[in-house]
Amino acid sequence: MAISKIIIRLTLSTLIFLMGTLLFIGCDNKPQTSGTAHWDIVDVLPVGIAQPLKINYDNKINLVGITIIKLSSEELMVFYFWQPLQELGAFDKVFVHFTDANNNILFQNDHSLDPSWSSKKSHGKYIREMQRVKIDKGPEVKDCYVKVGIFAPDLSGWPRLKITTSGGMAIDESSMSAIVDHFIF
Amino acid sequence: MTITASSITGFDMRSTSAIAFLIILITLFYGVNKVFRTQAAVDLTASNAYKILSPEDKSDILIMGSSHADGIIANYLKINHGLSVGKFSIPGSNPEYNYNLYTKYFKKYHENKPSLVIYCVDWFIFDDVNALRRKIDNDYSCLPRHIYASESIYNLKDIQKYVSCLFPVFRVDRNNLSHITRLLPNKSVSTTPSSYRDSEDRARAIVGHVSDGQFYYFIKLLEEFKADKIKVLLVQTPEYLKVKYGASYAHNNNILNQIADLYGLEYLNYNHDKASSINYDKNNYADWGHLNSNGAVAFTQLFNYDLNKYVENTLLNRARKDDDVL
Repeated sequence: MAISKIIIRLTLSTLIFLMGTLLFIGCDNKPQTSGTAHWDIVDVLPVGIAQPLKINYDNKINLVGITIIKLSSEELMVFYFWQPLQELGAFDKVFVHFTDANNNILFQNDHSLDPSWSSKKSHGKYIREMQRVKIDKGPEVKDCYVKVGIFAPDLSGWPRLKITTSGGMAIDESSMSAIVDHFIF
Repeated sequence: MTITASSITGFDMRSTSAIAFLIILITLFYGVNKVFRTQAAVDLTASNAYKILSPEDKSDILIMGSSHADGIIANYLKINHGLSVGKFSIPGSNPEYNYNLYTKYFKKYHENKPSLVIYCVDWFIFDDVNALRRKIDNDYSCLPRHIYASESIYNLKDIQKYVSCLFPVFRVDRNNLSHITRLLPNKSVSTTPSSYRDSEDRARAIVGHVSDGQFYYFIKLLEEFKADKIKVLLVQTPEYLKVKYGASYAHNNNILNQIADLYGLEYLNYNHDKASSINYDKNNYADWGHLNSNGAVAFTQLFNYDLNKYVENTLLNRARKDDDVL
């Protein structure tokens, strides 16, 4: 009798434990990702990039492409395609200036590069990054140029990485930023 | 040790009632789980769609998308050159779902690579908040058995997901209780503002949010197809056009047009430039966005013609390219 009682109790507690465990692992109420930045690391350069590029920033990182999709007159979706080559160190931020023909900044998409891109295992691979960009000013301007450079926000004077090769894209006088794309509002 | 009659009776009574209790508990659990499986996950439709992962399938053309893709009846399509059509559309599936479906399972287990994917895009394709909320984690049980076994054994880090998907009764999404309210006698009870049981105008006004995540996965999926040298034809199946649209309708269609241009894809929009009488006859619709069987038959005939035209043009272009190479 005692044994049968123990068996029944054990079975019941196992059942309750199993149900509890499944309840714990089964509940998936997390919302789907809807943040501001999305990126992933891929071995092969994705195909279908609207503006293929070959811009090398001091042999540390390449910008290999950019795709801009206009969501509306107020927002853009920008895809950047990077190829890290070395440790980025303090140079962990990218400035992206959307300017008019006279080099006046209309709006920007300055953002940090993820620290994991600096790690050795990312070197030589490709990073596809997407950013949603708010347009503060623009529709009254016809042409818009996109200038991209890398800088170190934590070092005094915010030094920038020098562009070693630009793959034919126009660069500024000090070789610190390149005009990577141009579009019309 | 002496066993008395009363102790035997007591033991029997107690053990019998405990066993009976256990049986009732297990039956209840099994029954409720079964109801949740059919009510919550539309498992049957998904399971049927997942059958295309079997090695026997040799479809040259694959139809993907959400429930709106049901407006195309694959079996009714008669494509020139003997091309066969398979359907891999899951109700409520969003680009993230379809990206995972394609990269995690289709590429891995489906031996025959299709030459064309017909992706049925909804104008609210990026809305994973109010419309397309299906998650692939909840559908592992729909996988064909050999794939389920192989994935759950070799993918140990996801084993919890593979096991728990067999018990949807525990997968209650507190943000979406529609599958519970559906069990109630009063069908009009709704707990979600986005419910399609709302008035049709309101339903259209609500959907259309552009989620960054879904946008990202859609682009990734197109890039994946391009890398695999699979042609993509974007199709928007007919909706009932005599109902008001929200502001996001034009906005989202504009995004889809841009994406099609950017990736050089043909885009057949049967709610805009290719709209027909099907769009204005309510008898063709189950609700504002879903064709019923009459509508699906009518639309499939129309689409069959356009698809054949597309196939001929694509083959012609390929032949021209081959000639150039020669």
